[in-house]
Amino acid sequence: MKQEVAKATLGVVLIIGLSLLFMWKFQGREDVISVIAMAFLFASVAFAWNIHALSGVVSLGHAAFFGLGAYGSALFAYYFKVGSWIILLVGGTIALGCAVVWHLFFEQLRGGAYTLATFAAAEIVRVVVDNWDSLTMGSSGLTNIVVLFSGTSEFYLVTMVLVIIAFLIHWAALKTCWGLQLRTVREDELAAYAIGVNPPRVRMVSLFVSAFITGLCGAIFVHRVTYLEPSMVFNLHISAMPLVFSFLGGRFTTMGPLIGAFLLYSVDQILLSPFLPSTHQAVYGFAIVITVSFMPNGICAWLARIPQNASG
Amino acid sequence: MAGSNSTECLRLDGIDALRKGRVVLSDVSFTVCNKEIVSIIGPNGAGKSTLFDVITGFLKPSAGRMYFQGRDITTLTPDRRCHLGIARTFQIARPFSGMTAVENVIAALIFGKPSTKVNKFGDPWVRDRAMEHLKMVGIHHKANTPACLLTLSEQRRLEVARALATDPSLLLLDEFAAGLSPQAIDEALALIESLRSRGLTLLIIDHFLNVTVRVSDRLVAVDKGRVVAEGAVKKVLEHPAVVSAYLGI
Repeated sequence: MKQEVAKATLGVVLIIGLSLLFMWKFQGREDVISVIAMAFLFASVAFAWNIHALSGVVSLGHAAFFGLGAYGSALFAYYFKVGSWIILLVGGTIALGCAVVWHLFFEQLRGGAYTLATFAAAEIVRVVVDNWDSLTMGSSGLTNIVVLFSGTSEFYLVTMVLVIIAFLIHWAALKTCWGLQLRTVREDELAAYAIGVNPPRVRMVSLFVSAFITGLCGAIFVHRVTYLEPSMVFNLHISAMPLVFSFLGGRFTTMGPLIGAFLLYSVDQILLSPFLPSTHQAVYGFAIVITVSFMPNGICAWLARIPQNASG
Repeated sequence: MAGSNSTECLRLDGIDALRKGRVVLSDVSFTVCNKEIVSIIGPNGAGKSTLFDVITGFLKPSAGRMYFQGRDITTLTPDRRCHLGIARTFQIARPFSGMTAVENVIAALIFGKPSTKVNKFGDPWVRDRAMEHLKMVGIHHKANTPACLLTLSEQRRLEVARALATDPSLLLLDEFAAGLSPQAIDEALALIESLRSRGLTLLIIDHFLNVTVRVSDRLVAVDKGRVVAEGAVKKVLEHPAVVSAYLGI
């Protein structure tokens, strides 16, 4: 345990160190800093997604949390004329509300049925937001959303803090008692029940934590880009991205989702996007195929040669 | 009234249970006293495993109440019953396959009894305790083997070790001796005796009568979801309803 705490501390130091190094190295290159900041943001979503996945289910609907966080925060700022950081929490809370509904309806589902249900649930949210013109402005979207971050550097530092928080919670979901609970639940729910773990509660907590962080990320995202329309946040790409990052980096490693996000998102945005503006996203599909075929436990596990970890 | 008899461990009172709309238990009532070894016998499909699911909370009964140490546990979830001291094994072993044998037991030690909070996860003491449990069932030499690589008989022993690690006062063993070699059966019976000497109450399902009758204090015979006979071993085995249930006449 002490060893694991030391590793987590090392991880945090590493993230801060590398972030500051990048900031210094790419001084004046706002575009690069901006891409790294977005990589941190989506790494946080990937951590959040994986916290949920560690309870033994795969979600393809995290765009619902991300989008509701974005819309919730943006609309709250608009209607109540609030311009402080507190609105980020509103975004997280609204995503959490959506997670409560998920929990009520999907609690009995497992495996493919659960994944399909989450996918459909995100679509339902998109359709509602798209058509509720009087509240959300519908498909015409929102513009001039409150700016919360004075510049790229500030946004960069905020996403750095965000990714550190997400990293620590994700670490806890792997290495602490809570992590052991999640593991027993994903290995065998009935057996977990029989040794005194309450699988429904464990799954619920992991979903709620995951949804809140994802909503928070959506809110931070929207106050950076300052405009919003349903197709920007409620799309399969947003749902699939954290999945791809987690699988690529390593779902059972504490750093996996961050490394996956960092490698793939940066490569995609800096190297591919300028040359292949319309097809660069194919790299995500490519990455998932390569990972599943050759490194089923992700890059981190592949590098460390960690023995196979059952996915449940 | 519940708790009036201080040696009463478990009491079932008119339990009915449905599975997929079909009645699988009807009006099941019996009592198990502390430190007793009771075997539940009956042909395939009689409702023995369903009875275990009801006692451990995996299946909600549609009618009736049950009491554990005088306390009404009818509506409690399986994890709460585990915390109170009811542990079980499954008919088909359900180890946490990706975890090693000792990790399986460690999980049970940590979550089995929240009152005696073993919150020092990773504490060497926890591992030592887990090793003791593995030693008791005789698979300590496989402690670091992933559970999925254990043989069937080892997996079943692991289940017993894991159940014991939750520190139960009532242990339910489902088909404990099925598929074991004669020598393994002798070992299993020795284990059961040693559990009794530690003060545990045991409820054992056994399809093959020749195994558990050797250690049981009492038998409960089940057929078609009903208790058809209950009492001393010899009396139950000679009961006409039991004979007809097994021979199908």
